[in-house]
Amino acid sequence: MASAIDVGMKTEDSLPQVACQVAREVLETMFFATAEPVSCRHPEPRADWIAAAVRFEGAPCGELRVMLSRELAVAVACGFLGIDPDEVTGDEQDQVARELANMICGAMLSRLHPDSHVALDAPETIPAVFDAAGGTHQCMETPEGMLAITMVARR
Amino acid sequence: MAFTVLIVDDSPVMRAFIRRVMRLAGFEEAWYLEAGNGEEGLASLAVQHVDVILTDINMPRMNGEDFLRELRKNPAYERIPALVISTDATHERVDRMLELGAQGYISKPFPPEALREELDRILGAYDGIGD
Repeated sequence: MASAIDVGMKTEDSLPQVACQVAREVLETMFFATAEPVSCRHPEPRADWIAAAVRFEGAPCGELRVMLSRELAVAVACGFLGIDPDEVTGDEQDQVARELANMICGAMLSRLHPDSHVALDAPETIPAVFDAAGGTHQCMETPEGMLAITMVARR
Repeated sequence: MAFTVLIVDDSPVMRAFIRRVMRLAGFEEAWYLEAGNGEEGLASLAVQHVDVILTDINMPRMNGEDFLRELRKNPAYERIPALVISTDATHERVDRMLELGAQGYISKPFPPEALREELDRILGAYDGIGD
């Protein structure tokens, strides 16, 4: 069944396919990391994962969430900022996770709905609790750890 | 070529990333000013001349659209080239920012070469850079 985000999509690709393409492109271009789609392996809530979300309003409206294992959060922060792992602070990991969510969300919406008017809210750090109810979900594996992407539509 | 860049973005790590990409793109001699929103950007411009502005759109207090409007209303700033760097690549948004006076628009994700090409194009069209 199509979700609210599927309606009016300007692509033949499915939402998970677009999520994979965009996540790969974002990680390679901005974070100097590689990722491959895998079947879902997201964990139960764990203190050592971090998460960020971006809400979007317009047509469509909803929320995109990313969850990263701590190892991946450190690796993408290193790639993004050009620093060594022992230099990365917890705050920088959270900030970079929010940027990752922001870029994946913006790129997905621009690809899915290039003619729509959609406004993105500022990305937020959220509890790392997996909840894909009513949404589309895709897990990605990198050499450094796991990334879980969830896009949920609101009506 | 030495020149001064004003980076306007509410994310400190994004500002750091842009400085890094500028170096990777070959702009080793640039000087940087940073601002967390359009208001802070205007305050920086009041005390320091800059050669080019790189601005985000979604920011608190004064967003990139209002920042560009204020820039183009002020004769002292209207000729400073501005390049938008944003996650939003919808057609409406890009068109609106260009109508408001942005000289270029880069959507994230982008490679260092894309920033180099845009800055070469923009700076090449203006006189007096690095004076």
